[in-house]
Amino acid sequence: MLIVMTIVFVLLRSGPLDPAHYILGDYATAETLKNLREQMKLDRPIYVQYLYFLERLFQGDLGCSFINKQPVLSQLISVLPYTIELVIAGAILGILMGVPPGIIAALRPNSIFDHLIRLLTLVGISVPIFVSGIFLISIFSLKLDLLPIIGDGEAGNLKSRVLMLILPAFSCGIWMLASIARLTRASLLEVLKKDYIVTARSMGLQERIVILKHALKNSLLPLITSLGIYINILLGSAVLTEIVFTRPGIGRLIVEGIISGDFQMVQILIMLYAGTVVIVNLLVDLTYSLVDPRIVYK
Amino acid sequence: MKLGPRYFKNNISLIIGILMFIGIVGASVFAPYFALYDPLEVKISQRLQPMSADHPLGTDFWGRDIQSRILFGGRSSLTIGLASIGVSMILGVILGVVAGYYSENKFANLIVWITDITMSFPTLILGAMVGMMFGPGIFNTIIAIAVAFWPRFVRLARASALSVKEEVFIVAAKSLGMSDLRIFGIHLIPNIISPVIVMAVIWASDAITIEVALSFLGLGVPPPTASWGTVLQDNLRYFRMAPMAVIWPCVAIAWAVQSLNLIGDRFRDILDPKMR
Repeated sequence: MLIVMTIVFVLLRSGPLDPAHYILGDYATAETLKNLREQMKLDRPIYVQYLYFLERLFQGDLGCSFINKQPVLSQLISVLPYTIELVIAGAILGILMGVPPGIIAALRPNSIFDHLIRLLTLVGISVPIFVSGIFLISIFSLKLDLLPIIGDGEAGNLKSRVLMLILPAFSCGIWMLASIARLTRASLLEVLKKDYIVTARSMGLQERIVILKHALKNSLLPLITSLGIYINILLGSAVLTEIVFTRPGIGRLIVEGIISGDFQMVQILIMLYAGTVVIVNLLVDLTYSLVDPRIVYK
Repeated sequence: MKLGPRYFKNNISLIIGILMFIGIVGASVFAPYFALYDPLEVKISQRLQPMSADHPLGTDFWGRDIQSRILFGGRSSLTIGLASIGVSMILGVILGVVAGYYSENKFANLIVWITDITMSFPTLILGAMVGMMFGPGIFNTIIAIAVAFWPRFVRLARASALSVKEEVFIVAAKSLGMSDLRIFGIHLIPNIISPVIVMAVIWASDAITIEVALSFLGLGVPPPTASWGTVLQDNLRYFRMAPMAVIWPCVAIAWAVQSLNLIGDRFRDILDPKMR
């Protein structure tokens, strides 16, 4: 993590962006620019800046945003719940609505259902977030007037918050939904050819029990393996979702930080992304042994 | 397995995908012949027009013709998407083959390590970060997207190279005294290239999406140049007044992405018979 942080730090600071220039605008004189840079300690050599940053970090101080002078930590905490609820809602949606079509398609391979599901899931994988988001808005909000368009819901009002979450979660989770359906189909098809399924069937077990208990359980392993990748992609899609639906969130914060050259903010947020992905991958590794008892960690 | 003409038989979605792709590339390449107006021409008097005979897809807030802007936008979006995938494929395959072939080497471990780190960021964030360092512009956007995509190719090429390098024909070539470079060129790369190309087709659709996203965020193609992302961004603000002006670029993006995915998906089925 420390090495990643160093690389990100050096890359960001060596770029051509200048937060002082952004704050003061295009018509700033050279002198005011210089003063502001001195004030922000941007004129020091890069290793001094880095040591300074590290020292503050180990004291538990994430620093202040260069642009609006607010502490990064408080901004982070105020938007974090929105991104977390979006990603979790997207993931739940993807799993709950992705697995059943996958099972249906795998049970009747090459039937009309199978072809339909494959075609729909391919569309689901292909459509970029903003496209699906905009279509969802125009259908459900503008034409049917069922759901609110943008924003984050009234504070403290759970119902409006959930209503606000539906469309973003859908457009965020649609990719995951489609790709989980495809993955379930492929891995269930594979498992259904195995000998133990034939055995289970020849024992006279009900087809429902064979599928749900024996086949599905075994076909879920690749799904869990790729959960880490899914979370990573969901985090990426959450960025665009937040922008299209104008929700507050981490993605919005980082994009605004990138555009305005707010190194401090971008730095912390990128570390947050990398940290999340590492933790998710660790959790995924640990759950393998729960799902598949053959895997033992020494 | 080789990709051959026999796969085109009975494969409607592959043919549809290729036709869709040729259609959108053709429309962009010959944009000057199809477009009725200059995509940059501002006519304030005719702003936010609905679809009509004069302006088939309407006009935007500045009175620019949306059909022309989408056609010309396809030029930048497709060029950037395809070029960046090409760059990252070449880079990724070379690094991946090296990392896979000399798997015990320190340098190879370094490549793997960097790849793993880069993979832990969402692609869009990575592209935006690199885009921020280089600044906007068509060439810089190509580089930014290529940087965001090369680790995927490295991982894929390395995994294939690791399995192929143990094959008898590589050992035979080595014992004949062939130089490593010739082994790469004649034996290794041709044997791993088909899965790489298939994934390149699929990832090209991702790259186009990323380009649109970057331009949409103002980190890619600088306005007023037309790109699907900038067209979207221009019109999203006036979504309530002119919703169709937002829908049309979405259709163009979905079209391009869908065509590449149809092609890639079918090719993947052919390469991996288990998926059928």
